[in-house]
Amino acid sequence: MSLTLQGVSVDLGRRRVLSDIDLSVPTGSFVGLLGPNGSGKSALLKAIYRAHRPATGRVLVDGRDLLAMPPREAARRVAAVAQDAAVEFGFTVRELVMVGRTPHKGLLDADDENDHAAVKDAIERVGCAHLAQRPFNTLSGGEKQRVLIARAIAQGADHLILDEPTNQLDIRYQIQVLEIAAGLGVTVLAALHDLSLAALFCEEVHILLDGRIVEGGPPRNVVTAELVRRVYAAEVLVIPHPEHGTPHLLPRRAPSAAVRFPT
Amino acid sequence: MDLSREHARPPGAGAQLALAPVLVAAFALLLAVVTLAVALGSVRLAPMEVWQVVLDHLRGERQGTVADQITWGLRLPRVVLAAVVGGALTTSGVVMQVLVRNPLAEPFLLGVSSGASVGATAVILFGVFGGLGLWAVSAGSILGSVVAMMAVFGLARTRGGLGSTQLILCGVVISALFQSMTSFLIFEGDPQATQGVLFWLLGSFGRANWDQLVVPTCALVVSVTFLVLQRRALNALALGDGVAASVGIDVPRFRRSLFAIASLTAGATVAVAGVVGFVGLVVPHIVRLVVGYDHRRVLPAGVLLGANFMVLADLLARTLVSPQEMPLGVISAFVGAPILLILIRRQPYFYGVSG
Repeated sequence: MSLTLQGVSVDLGRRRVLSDIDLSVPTGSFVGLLGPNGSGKSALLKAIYRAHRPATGRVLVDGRDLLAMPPREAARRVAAVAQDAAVEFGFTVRELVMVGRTPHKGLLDADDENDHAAVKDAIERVGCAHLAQRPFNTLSGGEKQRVLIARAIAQGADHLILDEPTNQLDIRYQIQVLEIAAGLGVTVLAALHDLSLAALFCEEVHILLDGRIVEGGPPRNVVTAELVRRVYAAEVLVIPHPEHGTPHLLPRRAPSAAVRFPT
Repeated sequence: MDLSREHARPPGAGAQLALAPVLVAAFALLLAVVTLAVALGSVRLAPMEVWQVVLDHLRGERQGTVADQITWGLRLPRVVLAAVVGGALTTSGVVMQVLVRNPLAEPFLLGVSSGASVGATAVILFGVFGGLGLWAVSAGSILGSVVAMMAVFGLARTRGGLGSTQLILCGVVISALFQSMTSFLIFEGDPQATQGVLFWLLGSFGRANWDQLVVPTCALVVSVTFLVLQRRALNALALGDGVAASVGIDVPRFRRSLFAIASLTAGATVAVAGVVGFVGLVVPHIVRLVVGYDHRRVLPAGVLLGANFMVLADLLARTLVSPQEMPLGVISAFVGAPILLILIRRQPYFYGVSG
């Protein structure tokens, strides 16, 4: 197990938003973190990429405590695409991706050939070579998300944390972004909103509800109509994907009696 | 949407010039501007005279001529002080804009100027620290700005940390509080003496001498050295706290360092020149429009362009309505606003660029 959480709890102010999380992400796998808004998905991911300090518990990478490592060394193992990436600053795509090289550089080091090669390779892998000189804040939503992933790729870590990478993207880019992540050959842990899409890409999914993990396993065991009713309080039909056999959600209307208007 | 964007002229492409020529040009311009600023005034000197005096002093010789007295005794310390303060305020502004991730941030956002104003006003109107003589105003303003900074820092920490929003809110609150104290002091003080307070509040290099250069020069050197070493961390923090944490930066500690660096640098300028507004807001934007956003380029270019800007503003301040002097704040806003507007019209900047 390359990435393991043991008894992790996170407090925001006085509120406990995550309680006693145990989670394992096998080496090289693509694991999804699912759950309703406010269930603690972002908090859990932030505890891994060190934006939150857990109140209790440990985060282990190959058995070593990630939070006890020097921050730069930890960043060489775990890269992240955070949700809060700012757009006010007009870095070019290349400059922004170069930020991913930060944990490899000392205070006095200049960018060397390795850095330029890593940045070029990362930008090409997300199909943005033609955008390298463009200011980031002039890109479309899909282009931006791919560039942010390139920044994480350039970091050269063998673990990638994605916080709702498909948010606000159209269907083409949703698929593209997840294909890129799945094709990297690194261990991926991604918070996702779309259960059907998650089932299509993830080898395992874990369900968060009110700061606790309530279910986990391969999508076809976990993603069921009963689970969606229990966790999201929503009515869906779950059918197998015609090509892949993975669970696919069909939303249902409320029973007609409930919404009939008085005549 | 994608297609139209991809075929449009790449906005901002070509906006970046190579760094080395920009720095050389800015340094050459600074030498020329400094020479001009020393040569011009109620007594005009030839540029060669100015340089002759400087060379004599560098060789350890003093001629005692009129040109020597005017250059070395009066104008050069003032011009060099203006250059140092311009560089320091630009540096502080760059940091503050990253720290609160807001393009409208400026060096005095976190209470430095309003705290210093209380201290300086108390000195000018009520003779506090009278025993310190010429240094009383500096001492008062430094003490005031440190107290205000500590108040902002303490308040922000109890509100959950030095995040962007907390800092802006606490800065605004504390600034308002200290401004009301300044207003109260002016209201209670001698109406004749309030002229001096007003002049100080709008900034001036009128009291410049060589001794005064020590504090702001040290502040500039220390802050630029620290920031150049931390240039990668600055770039990362500009992208968000989450990004910065994920590339291995201790975000809370780095934010505390930036808070201290930006405020102390601004405070050092206030101690010698009063509240010189607008430079720290507008010059960072001008710099980014010229050399781009990477702090490896912004920091050195910012020091040189800020120095140029401030020396020119001070030259205008003391020659436009000579023999009187205009407050610096009037000039820097009057000159800086049109420059920024022109640059924004030519380049799609963050204004009007969809996020």
